[in-house]
Amino acid sequence: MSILGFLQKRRLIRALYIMLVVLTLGLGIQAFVGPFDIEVLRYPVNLYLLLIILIFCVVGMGGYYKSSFFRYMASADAALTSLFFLGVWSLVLGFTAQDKALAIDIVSRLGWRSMTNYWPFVLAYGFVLLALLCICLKRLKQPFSWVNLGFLLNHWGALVVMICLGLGASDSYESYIRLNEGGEGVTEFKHQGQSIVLPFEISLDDFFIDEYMPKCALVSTHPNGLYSGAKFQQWDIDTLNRRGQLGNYQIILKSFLPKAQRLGAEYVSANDERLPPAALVHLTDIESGQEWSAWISSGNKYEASRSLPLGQHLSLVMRRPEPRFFCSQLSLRFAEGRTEHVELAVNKPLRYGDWMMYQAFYDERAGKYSDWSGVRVVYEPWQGGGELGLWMLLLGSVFLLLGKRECLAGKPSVSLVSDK
Amino acid sequence: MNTENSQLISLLCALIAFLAAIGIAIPPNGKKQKLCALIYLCAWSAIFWILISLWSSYGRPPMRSMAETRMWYSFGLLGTSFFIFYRWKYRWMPCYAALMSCVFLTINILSPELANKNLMPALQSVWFVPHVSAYMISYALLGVSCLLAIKCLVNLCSSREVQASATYEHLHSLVYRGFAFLMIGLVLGALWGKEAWGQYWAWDPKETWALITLIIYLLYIHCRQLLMRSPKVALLLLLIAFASLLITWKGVNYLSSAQQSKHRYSVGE
Repeated sequence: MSILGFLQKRRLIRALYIMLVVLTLGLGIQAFVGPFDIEVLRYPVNLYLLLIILIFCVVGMGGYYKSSFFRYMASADAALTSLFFLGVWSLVLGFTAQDKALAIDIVSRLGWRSMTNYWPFVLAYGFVLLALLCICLKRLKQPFSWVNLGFLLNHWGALVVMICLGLGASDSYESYIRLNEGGEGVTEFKHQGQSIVLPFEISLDDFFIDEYMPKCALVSTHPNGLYSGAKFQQWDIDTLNRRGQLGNYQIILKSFLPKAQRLGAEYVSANDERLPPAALVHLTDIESGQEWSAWISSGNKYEASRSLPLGQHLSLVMRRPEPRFFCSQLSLRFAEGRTEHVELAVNKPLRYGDWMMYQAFYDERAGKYSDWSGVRVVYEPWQGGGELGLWMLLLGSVFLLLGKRECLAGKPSVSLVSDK
Repeated sequence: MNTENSQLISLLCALIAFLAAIGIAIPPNGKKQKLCALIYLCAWSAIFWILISLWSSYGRPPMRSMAETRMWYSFGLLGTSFFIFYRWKYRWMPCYAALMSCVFLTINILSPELANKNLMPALQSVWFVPHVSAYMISYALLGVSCLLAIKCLVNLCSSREVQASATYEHLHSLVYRGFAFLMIGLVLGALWGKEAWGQYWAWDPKETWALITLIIYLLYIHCRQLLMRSPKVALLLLLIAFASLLITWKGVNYLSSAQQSKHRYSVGE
């Protein structure tokens, strides 16, 4: 069959027709009602909606399966249409930045800068949800087999994820909170104009950061920034391995001071946490043999940096050290009078019931001298369901790898002709 | 081992693997083929040793930058293709896979990235290695399936039937397994995102394109009956899916919509 012949198949045309209908309906609603507001699905609306859909589908699949609507929704055709929906809207999301703050242009006028508030997307999401539910209910009627289990895990997992992270998203609150070291505690935050009270008061006792050793780099004073004329543009300062190559220069580390006080053209070691690192380096141009020897420093919030000019447009700089680890020491005061002192680090969130806290950011310009910390608080009551759905998908994928799988469309051809 | 040497040695190993693969592909079989297979496996093992050495010298998994993932991909591609040759006797497969590996490793040499031993706190997670590994394995499997799809397309153009061929079945088997790893990588990424940023899914461009790739392969899997009578469409769909995979892996860094992406740490500094 030719490609043109394939594109004329009834299934595809039906899928495209349904997509057009949903798109038209969605655009009409968008034009007359405005963007979709997920707040309308806040509990208990989302729960009632879910129950209605579930009862509708169970009754439909059980008693009214002869109706063309349910037969279609539980068929591979609906799966095809669902995938087309997901594919098209994902492509739009893949090419458009989801940022309402961007300048008004054709993309934002179409409503594509905030796809989750776009009615055609929402209706497509609803269609996919309905189709998944019907397919899952239909498969439950079949006797159990290992092949069936893989299918059930994958499809029920996808359904649970779409319900919990889709419908459940309306019950979520999240915000970034800036906490100052030793400052007042925070008990609430704003979410879409509404004040959300935290179950505890958060205050920042201390912010800690551990940094890697700084790097030396060749920097072009041309607008391009980093020197691009050589293979090696960065060199890790290493007190054990003091020699290296940086571009066309041999570099030798003569001395490194983690906390250095500037005295004229030199640096001396000092015991002050606010001081930046400095290094005495010796550079040799491999081609010309020219040599330089000087102190360089990354500088910080309190001290200016110092670089080594190597020519008209080239300088050797010490880059500010990158963070290795950072965390916030928090005090959480609960309503009942209890206080907990906890540590919040990246990839180590804290959980209190349906509330989660994440270490987000800090004052990067100040680096290890940051006196505030950015914490993200999230309230997500449907999180457990979302996680369950993801683990079901994971197990279902393992079945795809290891177990027998059923070809959705029937058995593949068995007369295997070798054509190697 | 420094980064530049590791790239050069890896490319050399891939070239040796390519030459050995030519020996595997050219008949006759027998001792010559076994010797070439042994050389191929040694070259493949050498790349693995280089990756482990980099891991040791960096003190972190070498899975952070594009160059590092290209090395892992080359390793995965060579291994997968040899397995397919061993299992299903596709003599030409190691040859083309080694050629692809050489291309990727040459890109590493021509477009060197700054070697950075540092690993930012967001990447210091138990999910990092499984997430990236799952994706590299899936990319290798789907890369090999793409080669098989091209082979089937060539057969089609020569008016040979493909639907009843073993190649077509093997292709489907590879796509299923590659898709499984793709799904595993996606789910692990979501679990990691929740732990790191508090969101399972943020419609980040990298995430979105991973989803697009997944959906295209899902389309292929769901439409198999529909596509049984249209093998050309099925095979073209696989090529489109692989193109989407490459966009997910590399192309997304060049999209204007991706400049604020959380996954930009994989771009060379």
